[in-house]
Amino acid sequence: MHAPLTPANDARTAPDPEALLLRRAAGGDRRAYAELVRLLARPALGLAVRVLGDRALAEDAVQEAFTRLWREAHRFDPARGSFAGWWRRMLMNCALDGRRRLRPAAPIEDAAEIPDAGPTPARAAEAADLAARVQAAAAGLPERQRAALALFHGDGLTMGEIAAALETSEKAVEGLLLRGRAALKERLTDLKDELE
Amino acid sequence: MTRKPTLDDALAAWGTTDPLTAGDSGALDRILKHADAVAAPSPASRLRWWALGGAVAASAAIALVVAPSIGVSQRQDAAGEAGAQPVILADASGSESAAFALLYTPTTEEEYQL
Repeated sequence: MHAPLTPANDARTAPDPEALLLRRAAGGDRRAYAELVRLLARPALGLAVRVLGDRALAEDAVQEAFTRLWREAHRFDPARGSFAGWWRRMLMNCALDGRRRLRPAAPIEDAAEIPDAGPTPARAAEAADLAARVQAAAAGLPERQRAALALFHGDGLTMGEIAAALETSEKAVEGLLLRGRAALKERLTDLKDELE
Repeated sequence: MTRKPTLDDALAAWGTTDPLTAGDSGALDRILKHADAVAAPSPASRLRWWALGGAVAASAAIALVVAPSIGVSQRQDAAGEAGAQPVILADASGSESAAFALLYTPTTEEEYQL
């Protein structure tokens, strides 16, 4: 289980080790950049998979985001916001890139591969099964709706933080979440009788 | 008997279950390698500097080769000016000019009649 990028990592509340690494990377410190990539890669790939619903596209988006992180490290200004918010916006920009959006999302049939509960207790297996069904249903949603749902339900971000990540207004995020939830409810036909 | 899941339960399960599996370690490795490659000083940039240096050297060499010939031609021009040929003006006493004058210049008699 990855550690989500929550406001607890925010540079405004505590010294942010990621921001410090980024500052060193901006000065050309390759080891600091490599360390930063190691810290961010797994949660970034997890979020990109949730948003894009396709592993190859997610990997491509994360690679592009890390390329931009190296090239634009000098542009990060801690006075203007946290590293977590800046990085999330960069990652979402790459994930929701128009060129990538032209490619088809993973079909619903592929959703069976998504989370593998493995030999876990029954409740974890149930949760994994539920997550797989939601992932499959979410594959048909517009990417921005998926991104809003993933950031809200996955990373537990506030409306303002999601708005910043998606470069939109809080009102628009509310709309994305409402429409996404409504569409998911429609698409989860096989669960409909289970859902209250 | 377990409680029936709500949409929020389903979304919470989706949001908190790590979507990555053991099979994704390859993707993570590729991401790390890609990042290393991005940060590494690229051979292409070194090649660019070499190419730039080569271009400057080639330009200098061409300039050296061409410069003496420019000097020679300038000297030739200077010599030309020293021994300049006299300017030959057009012959104003040509027969064609005379014929033209005869045709269009009125005689005193013609002038008188006018």
